[in-house]
This record gives sequence, C-alpha cells and structure tokens, in this order.
Amino acid sequence: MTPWRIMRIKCEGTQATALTETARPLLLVFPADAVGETLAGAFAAKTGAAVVGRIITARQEGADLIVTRSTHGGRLILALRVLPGLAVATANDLECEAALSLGQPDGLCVEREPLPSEGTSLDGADIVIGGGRGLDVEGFAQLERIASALNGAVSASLPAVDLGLAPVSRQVGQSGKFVNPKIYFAAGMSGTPQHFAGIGARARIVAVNTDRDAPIFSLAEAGAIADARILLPLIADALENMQAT
Amino acid sequence: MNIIVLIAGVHDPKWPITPDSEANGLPAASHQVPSPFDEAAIEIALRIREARPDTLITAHVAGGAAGEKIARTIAALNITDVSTVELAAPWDQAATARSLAALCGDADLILIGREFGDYDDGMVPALLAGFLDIPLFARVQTIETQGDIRFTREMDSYVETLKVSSRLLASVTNDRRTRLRKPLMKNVMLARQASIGETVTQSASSSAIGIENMAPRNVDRHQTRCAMISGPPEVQARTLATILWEAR
Repeated sequence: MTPWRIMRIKCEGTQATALTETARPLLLVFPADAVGETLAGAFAAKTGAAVVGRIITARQEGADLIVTRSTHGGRLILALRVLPGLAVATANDLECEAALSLGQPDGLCVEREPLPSEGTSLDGADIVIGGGRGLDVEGFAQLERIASALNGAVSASLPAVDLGLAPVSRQVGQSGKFVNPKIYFAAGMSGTPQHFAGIGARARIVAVNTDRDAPIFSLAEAGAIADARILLPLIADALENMQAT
Repeated sequence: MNIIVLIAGVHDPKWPITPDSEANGLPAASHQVPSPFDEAAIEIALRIREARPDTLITAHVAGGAAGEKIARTIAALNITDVSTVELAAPWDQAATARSLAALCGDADLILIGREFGDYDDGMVPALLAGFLDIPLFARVQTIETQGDIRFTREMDSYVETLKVSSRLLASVTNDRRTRLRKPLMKNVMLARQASIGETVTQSASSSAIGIENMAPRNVDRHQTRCAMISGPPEVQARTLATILWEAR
C-alpha cells in the first residue's frame, strides 16, 4: 500500500510550475478562495485529476483516500472514496505535509482600485463581531464600535449581506470567508449551519438574540436574550469605558 | 450578444433534508428554489439585455423535472429560451462541469452562480472555465452597462473591474445591488403555460471517485450549555462586555 501525499498549494507567481512526477498518489489542496478555486479548476481540467471539492477531512483507508465535504448549505456531509492517482481539493483548514507553488491563471486585464479602509481584516482576527439579519444599519454601526474597542473584525451572515447591511467581503459562512477567532460574538443571527460552516471549531461563541429557542444558544457558551438595538450600544459604551481606564 | 445562464437551484433551507439510504445517501431533489447566486446571475443577464436589446438569453436549469418550477420562474422574467437539464452525477463537480460545457456552444458570455447548487462549493465554475478553455472572472458583484459592459468585484482590499471584451465565463455572488427583480403578474401567468425544454447530458461521474456515504452533518463544535445572562440590559451589557474584554 502506497501512502498518499497531501500537499498544500500556494498560489503565487504567474507561471504554472511543472508538477514533479510522483509515484505516490497525490492530493493537491488549493486555498478555498477565488484564486485558489480558479487555479484548481484550471489545473484539474488540464490534467484530468479527480476533483473532490472543498474538503474537511482526509484519511487513508487501504490504498484509497476517504475525504469528506459538506453539502446542502452545511447540513449534510458527503464522504467520497478516491482511488490512487492525482486528485484536487480546496480546503480552509487542513493539515498538509508540504507546500508547492503554482502560478495564478492569467489572461484577464483587470483594473484594480483600493477599497476604502474597512477596519480590521477578518483574516487572522482573534475577535470577530458578527451580525445577522436581526440587525439594521444602526445595529451594524454598533458592531463597528464594539469591534473597534476590541481591535476585532466585523462579520456578517449572508442574509445580512443580501440586505445591504455589510459588504460581501465581510460575509462569513459556507459561501463566505472562513474565520477561526478565539471568540465570536453573534448578534441577531439564529445560528444556521451555513453560517457556522465558516467558523473554526476553536472559537468560543457569545450570542445575543431575542428568540430564546434560537439554535445559536445551543452553540454559545454565554448569551443574552435581549433586543440587540438596546443592548449593543450599552455593550459598546461599556467597552469604551474599559478601554479608557 | 448571446448569453447563457446556468442555474442550479438549491434545496429550500426552510425544508428539512435527510439522506436517502436507497440512493447512496443522496437526498431526493425536491423543494428546489434558486440560490442567491443563481438569482444574481439572472439579474445580470437581464440588465445586459435591457442595455443591449439584441441580446439573446438562454437559461438552463439543473435538476431535470425537479428544476421545472425554477424554469417557470425564469420564464416569467421574459426569458423564453429555458430548459431543464438532468445531471447524471450532481455530486461530482467535474462531471457537472463537463455536462454544462456541452450546453454552452459558442455563447459570448456564460453566467453562473459562484456555487452551482447544493453539491458545489465553488469548483464547478472554475472547472467549467477550464473545460471550455476560456477565462473565468469569479465572484462578480455588480455590473455597469453604460458604454462598455463592466463587471466589478471586491477582492481582499481592492475593487476589481473587468471590461467584457471577449468570450468569458463569469461566476456571480450575492450582492444587494444585483437582487433579482420581481416578475410582472401577467408574465407569471404566461409562464405557467410556457414550453420548458428538456436537455439530457451524458457526462458520468469520474471513475476515480465514488460516494462512500452521506449523512447529516453533526455540528463540529460541542453543543454547550449556554450560560444565560439575565438582569436589566445594563447588567447584561456589562457582563457581555467583560467576557469580550477578557478574551482579547
């Protein structure tokens, strides 16, 4: 039985690096972002590699690899058996044995302008302050105050982004960014699997919601049943006082 | 301009979903609704047609008969060339992309949601671009149609704009600026009688992968006993602020 190699791909440069021939079965794991997916698709289409999608786990069973990925908005898990050969995946957070650089696909002439500063980036943030569709524009303004006092980053659920309460670059979840903070403060969100698919397992959850039966409270270690419109400004005031002393 | 819009549909999140043990675990495709990404792709196609009336839009809806309701929703938006397409192995992203590639012909612009249905997480558009050997502009958020057609998206700390000047595949993400319009009631009534075509594709799943099983997802994180913070709002706020402050 030949052990599989699982290698992380770094997307850098503009030229595709020739893949060294390997006698061992090989799973290439690309970043689960727009660039990583585009490169993975181009690579798989060109090489005929098996495609297994955005995986959560990978383990060898006999000569095969068993990988899992979530489907149906994070409500189901699909396990796939991959026969020995070359396979392509994307992943947010998967342990890999080595990294390999592949050039980004090119060919589009794109104009780029810097976005206005949006505060702390979600990437690598230790504290994330999230809002759902239970909030309004003022609610998100209060989340900004709270995040600012904590040097945290603001996130939003897909429905909140759809409502125009936050830009899509702040969307966390199955179809948004993956974050892995120490603490995730969730205000006005019910706690759907789609949203929590974008939050790492280490995050401690603290929640505010008006509905005592909201699923978020079965995931949170602490929470308050309260109207966020009243509570969020008070939390922001309290944090700003702590910051000042 | 010839535009093809590829629509996947998703299981309505309001309905429960359970694996079907007699179908390799794959749940039946039912209660299908357009995803936010599907809707944004349709809206972008409609805006291009408004700006360029000679635009022809063709829509393909995945799911065979299960996609017919969505197909009629699209027909109600005055898109007359709509068909459903049965996918042989919707869980296999490469097989899906191959099937879709066979539908694209020589369209000038192909629009697709950034995720193609319940089994995709963003790979189908990328694979489709690879199979068609055309560029992919991924995660489009908005469109400008005054003068040239321009797509924009936010990537990291940049806004990126692309002038559409050659054959292109664009995957579209949700954005409040491209929310799908409501159809006119008279068109909804007409769409009930509209002829919806059916397309059969041949792409089978890859021989290198197979379904091992499918199961409800257990929450990755431990279910907790939430410590409920009671009291007047000022007390709740102070307690929550302290928890957040100490976690820095």
